[in-house]
Amino acid sequence: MANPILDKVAIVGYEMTDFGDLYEMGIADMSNMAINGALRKAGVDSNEVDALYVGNAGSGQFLGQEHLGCLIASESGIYTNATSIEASGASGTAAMRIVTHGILSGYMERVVVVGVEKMTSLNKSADTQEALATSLDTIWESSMGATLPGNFALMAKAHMREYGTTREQMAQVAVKNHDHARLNPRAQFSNKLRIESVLNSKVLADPINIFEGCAASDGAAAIVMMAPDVAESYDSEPVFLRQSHQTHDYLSLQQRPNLHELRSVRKGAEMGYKKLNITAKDISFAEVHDVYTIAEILAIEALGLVAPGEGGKATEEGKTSLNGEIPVNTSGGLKARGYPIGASGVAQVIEIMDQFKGNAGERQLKDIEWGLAQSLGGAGGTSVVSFFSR
Amino acid sequence: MIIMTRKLVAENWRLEKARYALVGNFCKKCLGYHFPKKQLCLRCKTSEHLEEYKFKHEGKLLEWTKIYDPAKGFDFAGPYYYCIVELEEGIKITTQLKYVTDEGRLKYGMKVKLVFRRLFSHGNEGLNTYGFKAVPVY
Repeated sequence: MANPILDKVAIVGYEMTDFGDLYEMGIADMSNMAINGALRKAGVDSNEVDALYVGNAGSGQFLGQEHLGCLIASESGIYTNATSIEASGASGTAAMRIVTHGILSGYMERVVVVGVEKMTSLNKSADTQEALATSLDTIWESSMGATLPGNFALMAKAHMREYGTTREQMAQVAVKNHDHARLNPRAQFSNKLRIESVLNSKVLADPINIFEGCAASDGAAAIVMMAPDVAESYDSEPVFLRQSHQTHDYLSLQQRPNLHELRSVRKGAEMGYKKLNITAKDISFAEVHDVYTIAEILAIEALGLVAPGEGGKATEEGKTSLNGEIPVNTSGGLKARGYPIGASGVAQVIEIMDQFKGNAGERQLKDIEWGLAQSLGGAGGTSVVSFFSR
Repeated sequence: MIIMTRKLVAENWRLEKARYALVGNFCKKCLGYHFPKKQLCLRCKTSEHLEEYKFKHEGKLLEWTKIYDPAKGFDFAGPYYYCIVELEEGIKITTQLKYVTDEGRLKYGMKVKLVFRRLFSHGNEGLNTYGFKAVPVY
């Protein structure tokens, strides 16, 4: 029997739409393009698909549309079982992770995962903040006045107090990710961002400014996952998902013992390193969940890519830049590639695929062995950490 | 289109004691406090040893932030302070911080007391919901 802990799953085809304000397309249109694009690249006929899993965080909030699995299957010409998975910002990678269970148990052979979100139809900031705040504890956080940036602001202040992290170090995360996005034709933002612009932009929740967070975005990203023996006939050099760990911390910040670390991420990363018998030093590059700039700093520390408290300094010194020791968010990250919530985890995987397949153009990394993707739900209540290799 | 728990009358009435009077519970077996109230003690997994407990309206301020981009329902009064308070019993809660006349005087660990205030409103047709907010004690 397959051992889901030790075995691996191949990722063959992948495709994503542009990210941004896709006014012309509804949630099913975007999904259709990504799904069928990925199937075409994989060389898989839609009749051969054993299941469709949709990662989506808030179509009920943003569009008043639930039952997405069925909607998207119907509108994409996929006539198989289809299910939507919700885990806030980690929806896409949570869906990917669930598929490994089906494939490793031998129950499924070819599965499509699509992450999708349509956010730009809400036209007031207060409505978007209300929708985003449903990823927190609705009664004991959001009803008391919490917003998603508000919660990350509390974490940023805790990190600043504990380690002396500065506003400039946090702002540098946004500057770096915009620099990376300039090399990514699919990115939502391709403008150069100056550190002064970040520091002088409108405050969302002190100390987080608007240029430190993500804009509302639409987009879909899809991957085709296969059992390794099945993948052989589609791709002679597939990329494999080697480990994926979903872990949790308390949903609400007030229940956590401290706010200057992402315990959920640390737990998932440690489980992965142990199972693979590698360490953080073996990771060649990572896509992390920079929903706000502080989130990237917290993530690279929790993943062990830098020491606790060193995330801000490492960013400032360029260690996480494209040419640095450990490139982080070569795609531009959530900040600049764009953050259609449910799509972003799958888009992280697509960046990892592009890097391994040599399709990353001007942002192509050399001599890579291990790629890591980390996504968060809410303010860190859910974490999915996934490891990829050739 | 967006229907949130906090707009629902029944949900708000259900929370009345907790919001208005800070009522949670205490487990006589493990000596743990719970807020909000739990039906079963999270450690002992039983309701047998739980009794209602009214928390003291005093605690200390931990982290705080000032929110300039509020969610719908909180946009009636301009930017506001939002914070985590540790109650005397050791339980932490999140709430708004009112009557901050001078932010420079706010300190991590400073004393705060909890007062009864309007939490949010939903326009002319919606509910006004009331509950606790924190006030700094200088």
